[in-house]
Amino acid sequence: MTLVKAAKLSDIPPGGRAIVLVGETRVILFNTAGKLYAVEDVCSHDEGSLDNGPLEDFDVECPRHGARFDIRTGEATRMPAIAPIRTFLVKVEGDDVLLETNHD
Amino acid sequence: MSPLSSQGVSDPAVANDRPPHDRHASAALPSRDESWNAYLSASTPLPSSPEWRRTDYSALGLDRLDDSGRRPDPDESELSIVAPPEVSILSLEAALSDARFAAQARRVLEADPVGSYAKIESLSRALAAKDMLVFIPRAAADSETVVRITARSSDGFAFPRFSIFAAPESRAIVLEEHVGAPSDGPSASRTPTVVSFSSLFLGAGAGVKHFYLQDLPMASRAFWRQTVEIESRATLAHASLLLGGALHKSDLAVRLRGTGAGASLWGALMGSGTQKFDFHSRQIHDAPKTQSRLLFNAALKDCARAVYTGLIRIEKKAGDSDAYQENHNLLLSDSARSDTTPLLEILTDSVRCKHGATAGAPDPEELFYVESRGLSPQEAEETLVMGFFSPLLGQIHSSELAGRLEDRVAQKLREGAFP
Amino acid sequence: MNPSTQAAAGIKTGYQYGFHDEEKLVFKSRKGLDERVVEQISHMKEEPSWMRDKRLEAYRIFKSKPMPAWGDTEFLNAIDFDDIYYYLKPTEKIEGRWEDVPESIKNTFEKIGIPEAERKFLAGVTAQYDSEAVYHRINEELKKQGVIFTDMDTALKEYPDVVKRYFGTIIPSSDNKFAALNTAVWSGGSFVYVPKGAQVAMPLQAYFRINAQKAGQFERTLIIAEEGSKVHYIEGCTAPTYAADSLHSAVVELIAMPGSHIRYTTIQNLSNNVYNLVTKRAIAREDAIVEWVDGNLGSKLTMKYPAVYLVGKGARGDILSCALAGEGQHQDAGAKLIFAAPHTSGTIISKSISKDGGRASYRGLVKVHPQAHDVKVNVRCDALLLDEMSRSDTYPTMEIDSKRVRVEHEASVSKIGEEQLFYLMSRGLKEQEAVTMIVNGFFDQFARELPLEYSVELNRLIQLEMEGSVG
Repeated sequence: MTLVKAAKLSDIPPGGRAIVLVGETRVILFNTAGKLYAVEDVCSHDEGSLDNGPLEDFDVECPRHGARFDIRTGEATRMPAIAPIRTFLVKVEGDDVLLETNHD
Repeated sequence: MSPLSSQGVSDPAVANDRPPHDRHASAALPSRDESWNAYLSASTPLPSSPEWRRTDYSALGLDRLDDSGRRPDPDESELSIVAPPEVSILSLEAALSDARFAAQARRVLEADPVGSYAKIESLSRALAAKDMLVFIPRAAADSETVVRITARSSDGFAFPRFSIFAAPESRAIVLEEHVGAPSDGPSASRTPTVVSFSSLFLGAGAGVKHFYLQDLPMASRAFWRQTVEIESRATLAHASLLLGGALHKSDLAVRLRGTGAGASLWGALMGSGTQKFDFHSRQIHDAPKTQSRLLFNAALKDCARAVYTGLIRIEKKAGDSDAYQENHNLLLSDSARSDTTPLLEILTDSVRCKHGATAGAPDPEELFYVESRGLSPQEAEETLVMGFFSPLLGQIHSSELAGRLEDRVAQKLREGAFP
Repeated sequence: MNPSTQAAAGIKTGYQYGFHDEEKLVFKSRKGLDERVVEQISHMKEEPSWMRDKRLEAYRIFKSKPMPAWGDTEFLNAIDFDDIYYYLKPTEKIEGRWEDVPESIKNTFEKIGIPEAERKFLAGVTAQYDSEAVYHRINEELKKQGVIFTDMDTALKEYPDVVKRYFGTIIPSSDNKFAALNTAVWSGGSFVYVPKGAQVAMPLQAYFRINAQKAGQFERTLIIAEEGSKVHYIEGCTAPTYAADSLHSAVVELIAMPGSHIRYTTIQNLSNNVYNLVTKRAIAREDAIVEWVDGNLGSKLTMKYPAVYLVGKGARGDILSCALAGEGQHQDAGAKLIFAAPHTSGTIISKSISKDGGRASYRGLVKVHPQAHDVKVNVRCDALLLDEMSRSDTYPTMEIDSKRVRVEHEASVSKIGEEQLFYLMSRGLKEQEAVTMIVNGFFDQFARELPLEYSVELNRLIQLEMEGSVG
């Protein structure tokens, strides 16, 4: 397990998001309901970015075809997505947002 | 006109000797600055284009060249071409002004690039050390002319460019390889990148065997584009063995232009670690009674990924033609991945056209059969994987070379995940 | 010579059903589409507000999405959305008995050849005439089993909770431009609900027609098969010939709960001026089976890729597609199998024939997610070209992200073998008859999956198509 500095907390205000690159993986961070969540920025339906797709409660919607994912679990919550996306554990130390990653 | 030096030329600089030339002919060749500006103004290819659908253009890391704000110096890496004396080797510039080769040289100049490769092609023209032309004459009966082309990449960029003309009724073997070179100095932080553009022109009745080996360092990136034009009754046997590179993108386009032309194409790759291979092939039938067949095998372990896109296009005038294409992907780990898109565009009815593809782990029944011969499960799997490469290795004319390559593939198969 | 061939012999044009009644329509919306038309449709149907809101949201999505940049863009970009009527209502109420249905409408169905409603093997018939259900009858046995088979409009009124729970969950309006259009202006279509364990013995059928100048057909079908149930649904359409273009954009959602089995059969024989752009998708849970049996014979352009998303362990998806592309036609059909669960399997069989310059394309996807292991898939596409003017394309893709799978794909394109033709002709058949026989044989795998009267109709239609195309 390794902790990687991904972003600055000050860059992700409540209700906001940030897309960061962790190694070769693109990760999207959300600041919502008082916490930070991180999922891989890839829609399991067409493998494109979730980009600025709307976030409703804990469901982020892919802007291209309407697929939805729960940002807490990575689970697909609406078609046309049926496979989950990766989630990352988030740790906040001061203004640093750290992500826990592991080699597979 | 004095004959050009062509004595086993390995240093492109030697081919600088030029007979008196016609200035107008050279004027048709774009200058480096022109090509560089064309490169800068060309738009980045989009993922919506079939060529860049699975590999983002930025993954090649070519944008680093734009950083300095001015055209970088031409590529200093070595492209070595070794051939017997009867083969003429000269730069495109020289050939354009040489009456013996000017017409053929113009064909190279006028080649139509694929739209989404325009940017990278301009870059290649701007920075290639030389654009080399190789002319293989018709030889004495039964002998095959052997031409060796080697590009060694050190850290940094390499832009090999070459075209080979096989005269009508000639027989040739072309061995092309892209291999690594020992690092020079502390520049190890840079990723060696090779961008290769080449073409083969087979005259009527010619027979060419072309073998391409890519065994670059694991941190490399490679882009390899080759177009082949085959006139009537000429045949091409091509084999590509891909082993190295963090990212390898190939596009092989074979056009059967004359009646009775034929092409047999083999490709095989061994992917490990986080390697990604993106192989695009085109079998284009533009004349009647032509044949083509293609077999592309990918063995993938760890988190490696192979993308295969194969087009067979049979034009209206290409009646009585046959075309086949097969792609097999052996997935040796849970994280390996393959994407296959075989495409058929058939515009005439009197053809036989087939494509087939498979993907998955080695067949448990086959494994069991081999194990029952006394091998351990791991040895059995190795045997099946090596069997995957035998159609391609069988195409190599030299059994010594084939043996060496087989050892290399086996070595790669046994290596740990992240060496 | 059988009666149908006799009738066909007297027709000069290839299309047997080329006729239309006078437009005895009670209400006809104006041409073109905007929010007001969408609201009007919802208002006329007296829909709950959540459906109206869904329609309006879908309309906005439709406007914001661009036309697809793939496929037959030349044909697609010729569609003028402002030149279409989006809603028509032929009568005021739904008829309970066949006897009460207006005469002119009964004549239309008679001309098409719909059998008498009392025929034993028909479980129930919902007949659609220009966007709204005209006649509806449910057979006693279905009622006893608790099976609901009605039109979508009625379902929304009588079973709003069930509809609300499933509508748009398989194909959300943002899925693609035409799904958005359908969600905005849908009218008619079927609703089928099969309760746990119910096995519906006889196929459920429905008929659709386009009958007004520039009318669009936007039926919406939803089929829910609860655990362990089984149902077979058949859809067949015909439409009259017009000079102007018609748009047919349907959405079909199938939900197969654990252990259930849904088979959905379509024979599409729309006239050659219709754009047929359909989104059909099924979700298969544990041990469920979904079968799409899809025949495309008509229309100017059909774009249809029935899909099965396998989300439960042990699920299975089978897609059998056949297409006949004649002069001026483009059948762009295919199939999609998406695997996200282990021990799943599927097959895709696609057969197409192109003649007289027609174009048949196969576009498909087999995608295996990492979560799916022990997956077995087989894809087989065969295309037959009958002459040198015609064209066949295949664009399949396999994306395999899991190791313990066996995925196989095979495609071939060929013409009718000389030897085969020679053999049949040496047995006394004329060339046209021989070719027709070979074509019928090519589609045999598909025809065998149809109920008898359909395969008879299919043979009749093929014969009509082949007449005049050889010699």
